Amino acid sequence: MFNQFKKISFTVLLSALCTSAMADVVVVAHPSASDASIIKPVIKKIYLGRMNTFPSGSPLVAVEQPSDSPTMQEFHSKVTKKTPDQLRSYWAKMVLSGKGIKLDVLQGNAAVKAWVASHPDGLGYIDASQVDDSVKVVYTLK
Amino acid sequence: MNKTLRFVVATLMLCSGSAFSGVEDNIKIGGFASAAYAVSDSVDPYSERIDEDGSWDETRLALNISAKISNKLSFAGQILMAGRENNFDAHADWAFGRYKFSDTTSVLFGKIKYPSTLFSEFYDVGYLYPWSSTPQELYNLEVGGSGAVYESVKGASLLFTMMPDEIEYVFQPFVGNADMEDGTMKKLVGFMVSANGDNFQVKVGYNQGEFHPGGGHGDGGEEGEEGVFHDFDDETPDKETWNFGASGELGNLVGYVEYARIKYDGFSGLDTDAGYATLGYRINKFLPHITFASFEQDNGREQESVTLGVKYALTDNASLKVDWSVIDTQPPEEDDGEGWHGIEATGLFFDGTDDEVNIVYLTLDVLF
Repeated sequence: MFNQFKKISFTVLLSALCTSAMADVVVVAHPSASDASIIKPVIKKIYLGRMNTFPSGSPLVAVEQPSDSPTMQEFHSKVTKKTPDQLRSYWAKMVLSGKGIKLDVLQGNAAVKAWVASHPDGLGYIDASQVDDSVKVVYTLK
Repeated sequence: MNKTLRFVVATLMLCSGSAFSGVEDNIKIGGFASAAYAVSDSVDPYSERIDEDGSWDETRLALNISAKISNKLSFAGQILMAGRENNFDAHADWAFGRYKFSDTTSVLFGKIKYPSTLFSEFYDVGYLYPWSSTPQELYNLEVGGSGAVYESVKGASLLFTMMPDEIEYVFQPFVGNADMEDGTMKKLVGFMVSANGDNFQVKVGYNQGEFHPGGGHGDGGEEGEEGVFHDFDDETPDKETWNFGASGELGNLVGYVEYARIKYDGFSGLDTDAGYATLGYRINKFLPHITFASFEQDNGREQESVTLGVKYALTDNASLKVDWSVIDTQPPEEDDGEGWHGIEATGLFFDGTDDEVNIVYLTLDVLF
């Protein structure tokens, strides 16, 4: 019966084997930030919780957007290359093994911009159409 | 109010007040829960718990707390209550401090989660894997299991992470003691190396130490109780473990493979090869999967299993799973007419079984 079960299992598996255009997203920092720009690999490390300093060495606090936000989905598809589901699992592994502290989530572009504008160590990403003089663009996603 | 109820009430109170803490807060609280039922078609208990009467002992609930003291210093801990351990009594699953020398180098100190295998750091977090429980041929923590995995290491660890390109490399050496169900690993020294890409992970681990039978958090090691380790007498044999694991996603296809070799110096009959391979295919919210797993000791005691399962994503933070395992076992080869050193276990049926056994699992996993 064991061999028969193996055959059935293979059959079931084989039968199971028969998936926009977006606005630009920019990474923004406080206008006083000493870094004029940040390269994409560094942004990836920051948003995977592997780095919490600017390239210049000063501490930073990065903030996230909600997983149902188009800006969030566009940002992560290009930077971390993870879907919201994959990010949820990634952070669960980091947090539930004690190896990372999840980034805080702010509700949307306006909230992120306002928070970064009021925090010299702040970093966030927003839709490019939202940019004004209150924040400094350090990277533009292409 | 009993201890379990007090823990649940405390958890809910804490969560209701702090789970969605604001950006200025430095303490974060989360956790996970799994409600799990398993039943077999055998009177012989599998892994001491699952038989034809059914078992809820795989059910568990955990509360996780992280505190960022400064940009360099943080503390984290997890309180777990699990049916498999002392009837749901709450205990510290792990708790440790972390000091970051830089973005690439940290030291961890305290009760650290064992890092070496793919799922050892989140052994109980059912939401993070496709099965109802991790393949027991490698991951079983009970007396007479493979011994490839420890729940935690009390000691210290360095954590080096580098991400020079798209791949992150991690090197984590550790030292300390590890409690087991059937004893304690003392003077444990080991390391884990991993490469983590966008859609894959490769992990290699090695450790060695002195195995001290008894004295763990279980009640093993007693003459006649388990039959596995009493031949050690007062000896503390060196135990050595090598393991390899890989996981990957290619489109909708997902796969996991792990292997471990465990060696006891002077007790080669207990040397063990354990491993599994899993293949799954995502179809919208469904993940059907199949797993072949094997446990083989040099004394001839063996187990092979095939598991068919489906994981269904109920919500972003919850999943429902159904698994069906068929398990085939062999007893140890006899050396004195009474089994190998008196061991009665066949596979992971620690009291033995003559049957090919079917087990069905039903699990609801939640992250919060």
